[in-house]
Amino acid sequence: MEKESHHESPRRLGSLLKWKRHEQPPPGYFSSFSHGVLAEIQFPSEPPSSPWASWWNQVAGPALACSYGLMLGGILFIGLAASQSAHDAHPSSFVQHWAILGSQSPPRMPALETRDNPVLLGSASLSSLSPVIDSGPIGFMFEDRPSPIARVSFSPR
Amino acid sequence: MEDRALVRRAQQGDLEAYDTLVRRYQERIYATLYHMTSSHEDASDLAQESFVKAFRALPSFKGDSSFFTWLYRIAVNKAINFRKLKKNKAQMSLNDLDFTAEHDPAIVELISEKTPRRDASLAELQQHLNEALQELSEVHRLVVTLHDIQGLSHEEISKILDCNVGTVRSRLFYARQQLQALLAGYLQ
Repeated sequence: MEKESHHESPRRLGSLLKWKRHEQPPPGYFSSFSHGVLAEIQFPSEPPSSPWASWWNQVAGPALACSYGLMLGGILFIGLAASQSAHDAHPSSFVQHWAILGSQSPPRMPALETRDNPVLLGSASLSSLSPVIDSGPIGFMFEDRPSPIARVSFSPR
Repeated sequence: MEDRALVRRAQQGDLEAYDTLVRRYQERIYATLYHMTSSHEDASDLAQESFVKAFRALPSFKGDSSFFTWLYRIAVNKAINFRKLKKNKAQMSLNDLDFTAEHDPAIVELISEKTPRRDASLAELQQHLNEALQELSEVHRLVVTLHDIQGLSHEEISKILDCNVGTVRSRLFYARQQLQALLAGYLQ
């Protein structure tokens, strides 16, 4: 009995393994298989991404984007909180400062006054900025005498 | 048309000739990869990759062995590398059984006559067999797949695996012993 079982076991195993020949892919699979192979030969698709790349795309990338967003949000929040605390600490000066800034007009440029400016005064006769000659005869340029200092004045346009 | 003539034409870039070769061997290559990976999707991907790789390597094919043996080598190496990378133990889909299996005399006898667990269904038997196969190492699983499932001879397997026939026989003997031990409850 035991001997028979000893011989039966391999035979049964062989039958079981042959049984696996009946395992088939989905119907119609082989009818399109060669088309897929030829398409891959003619138009190679991109190689499959490495485990690191897929890990980066699926886990690390989104996590980094989230942390970047959180960091920016944190900086914004800290800035707002700091400004709020500064406002709470000195509310009057804060308001005053902004009030001054709000009402202040830009500083005016000082008017050019040649009569008070020795540099402009010295070059007044050579200036092309519409010199105004206050006095002096017409033929003074031809006379052998020092020309009188003319007082010029002009205003910026 | 013989393989040799088709290979020569494919080496010159004739895709129609290579299409004929693909159709000729697709089922056997797929089956080997399916029994090695236990997954239809993985087997499908690996089978396609094997044929693409074979086409690109055709210029280096000198014809020392048959195209069939050479193609098998590519597929087998793909399967071994894949299993080394992916040490998963995925279960096979139990819906993949061909309906003719239920009418196979050997199987009818196996599940109805002397099986101790008479209530074992086809699906249950298949599941235990697959689990047992998963316990084998790559090389042992490969020789069982090529010889006992696909029916290749020892000589053909030795050419594919590039080893001598004695090695194939000893691997097969060891693999069967392991399987018998693992499936003892269903085989006695």
